[in-house]
Amino acid sequence: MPTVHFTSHLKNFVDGPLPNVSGTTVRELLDCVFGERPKLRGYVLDELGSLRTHVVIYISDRVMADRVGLSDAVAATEELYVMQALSGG
Amino acid sequence: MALDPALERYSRQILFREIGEAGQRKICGSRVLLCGCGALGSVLADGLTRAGVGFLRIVDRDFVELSNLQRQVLFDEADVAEGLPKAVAAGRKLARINSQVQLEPLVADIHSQNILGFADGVDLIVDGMDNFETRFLINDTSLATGTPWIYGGCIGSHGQTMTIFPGETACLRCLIEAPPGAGAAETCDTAGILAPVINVIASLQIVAALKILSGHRDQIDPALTIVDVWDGTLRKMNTRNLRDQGRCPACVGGVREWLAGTRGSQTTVLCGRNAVQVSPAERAPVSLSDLADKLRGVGEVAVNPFLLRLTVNSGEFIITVFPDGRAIIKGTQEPAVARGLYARYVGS
Ligand SMILES: [Zn+2]
Repeated sequence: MPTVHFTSHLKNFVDGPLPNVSGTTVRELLDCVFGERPKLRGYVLDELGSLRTHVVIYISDRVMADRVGLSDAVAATEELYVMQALSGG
Repeated sequence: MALDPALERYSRQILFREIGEAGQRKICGSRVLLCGCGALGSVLADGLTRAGVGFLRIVDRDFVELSNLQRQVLFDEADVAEGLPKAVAAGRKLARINSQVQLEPLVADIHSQNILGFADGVDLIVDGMDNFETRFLINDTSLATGTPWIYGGCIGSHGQTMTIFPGETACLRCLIEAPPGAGAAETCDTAGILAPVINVIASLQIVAALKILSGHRDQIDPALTIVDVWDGTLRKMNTRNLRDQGRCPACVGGVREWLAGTRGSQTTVLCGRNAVQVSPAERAPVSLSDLADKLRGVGEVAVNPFLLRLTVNSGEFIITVFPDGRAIIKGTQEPAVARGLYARYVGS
């Protein structure tokens, strides 16, 4: 099964261990995580379900292309890495 | 062969094989613009000055405050007592550290009308800012002038950095198309910041700068480096395919909205009210209750469905935020001060 990781900053919104996820697209995998975490969902996706502009998702070593539909395929051995650009400094 | 006496102070850096005497001479002849002299900026200014860049222009709009001293390593209590602008305080310290460096500290708010002047004649732009808006402006400036820049950002225990070679590597807008809407992301003033992550990210930025300035830009990987000092982790995310996706409006499409001033926040001085209105770059609805949650540790917060009112610095400033992201900042008539407060507490 693929794994899903959030950068440590987003982990503040995760609340406890992540569930095992299943699915073959980014959308399916994230839905497993967001089910009981509306705050995290709101941080990553906008009201229409698109990726927020300052959030980036890596699928293993490549950046997810479909920021609107989140339809990119994820193989069972791959890792989803959800991060956001940081503004502080 | 004896080392040139003028280079004696850099002898340890010169012994490092990749720099050598030839690389050091290049560093000594280089010109750098540092945008922002807060936490990242003061580590960057210190490192670049000690490393011996020829010319360092430091632009910052802010004054030194007590809460800066936990991480902004160039400043001390005397600077707070004197109420010095950060650029001025930094210039004084740096001149004592290395008198060979030509320093140009400027107290100014970087915006679309003045950034090309600041970037004029420099080999490199280094990012020590605290907000997205100025970084998008730096990104446009880099693309317009062909000047490389080094992004760095931090929050909490987490930081990231990426070097941008305009026209060659992914740019900031390849990575993120637009800044988050007002209040949608956290800032160091709402989520806190650990000093060590600042030092790590600024140090990685300095290494990238030394590679570029000493003639080794080919040794910089096209990657976004992500660090967490609490977990002790470092990851390098490949950015090679980012630019190739071809959807970046800035470096592929040639659009320079931030530099043109058609994007970016607007300020209006409210005459006779000792207040400035800030309208954010991204018009998106703000959840006042979420913002109130973030700001409770920061100052006195009052919220109703129509507005949020934050009082900071024992009443010196009152920041009123409206659901459309607009804010009125009472306690100043200076747009730069208002924009700084907005960046810190609402996020820009
Ligand atoms: Zn780009």
